Amino acid sequence: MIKMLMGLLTIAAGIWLVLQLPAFSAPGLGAQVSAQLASSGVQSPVTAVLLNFRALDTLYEVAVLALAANATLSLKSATALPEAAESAAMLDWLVPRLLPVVLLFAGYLWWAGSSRPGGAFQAGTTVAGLLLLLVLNQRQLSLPLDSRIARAVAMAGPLWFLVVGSATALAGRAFLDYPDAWTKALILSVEAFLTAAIGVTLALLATGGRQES
Amino acid sequence: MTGVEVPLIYVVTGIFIFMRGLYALFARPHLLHKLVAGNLAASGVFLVIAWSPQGGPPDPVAQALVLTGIVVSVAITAYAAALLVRLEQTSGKPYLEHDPDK
Repeated sequence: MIKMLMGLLTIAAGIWLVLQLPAFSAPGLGAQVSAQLASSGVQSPVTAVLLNFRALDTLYEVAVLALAANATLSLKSATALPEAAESAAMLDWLVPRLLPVVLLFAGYLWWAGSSRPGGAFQAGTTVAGLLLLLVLNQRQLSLPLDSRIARAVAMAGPLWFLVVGSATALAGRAFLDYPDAWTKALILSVEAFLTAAIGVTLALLATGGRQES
Repeated sequence: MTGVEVPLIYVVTGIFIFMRGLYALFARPHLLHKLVAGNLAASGVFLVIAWSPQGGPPDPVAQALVLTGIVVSVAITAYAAALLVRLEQTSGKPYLEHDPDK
């Protein structure tokens, strides 16, 4: 009874929302972004928004990611992975050969972010996929995802972002207002740190942090 | 409804997906259902934000917003799933105490 009432209420609210839709003819911010694109240091409008015009939002975003990773680590909620299969000839052959290809692809995505779709998040997700492929195939990672060094890599992304922002602020500019000559180099360096950090963080989150000892 | 120049289907579908998720968020007692429902509702919001006006190039600010939203939602989902696992380990129940089905 209550569920039916709730269902009807949701349907009514949905119809009301559709009827409330304003006339969507607003031009959006695309024109302003293209007008300022030349000063952003990159040619991709999305990267320009993410790492230049609205870089502070991206800093908050990676801070949320770091917070989620640390909170998950503190819960010790990971469950043990199942035992490796006896014979995994295909995986034994495939995984080591896939490794350099996927790394190359992640590097390409990182570099492509400055001129076309790509960037730290896409590259980081690719790295995370690679790490998960290794973990799920019971490859012994010489550095487990919850080891000190892996966690340091995960935190290095937001920290380097903060260092860059603080440096621009100390140099008398606004926080994260890059000096013109350095813009592209700084954006690419932040994206490189973020790629590694997002890769480790997502893989860590996907495996549930660490096991209760 | 004259004056609506965007492909209305994205917005209407987005609202439908959001409402479907919102309903399940309240109606389903199992916390895993709630987690999936929350993600579903978020996807509806992303769909509404990411429409491309008048078939032109997508708004880069909207794209950046949705990209940020997806990453945050993945991180929060993972954390919520870890909390859920922990709750089941400690209380033995994957739902909160006030279960409307009981």
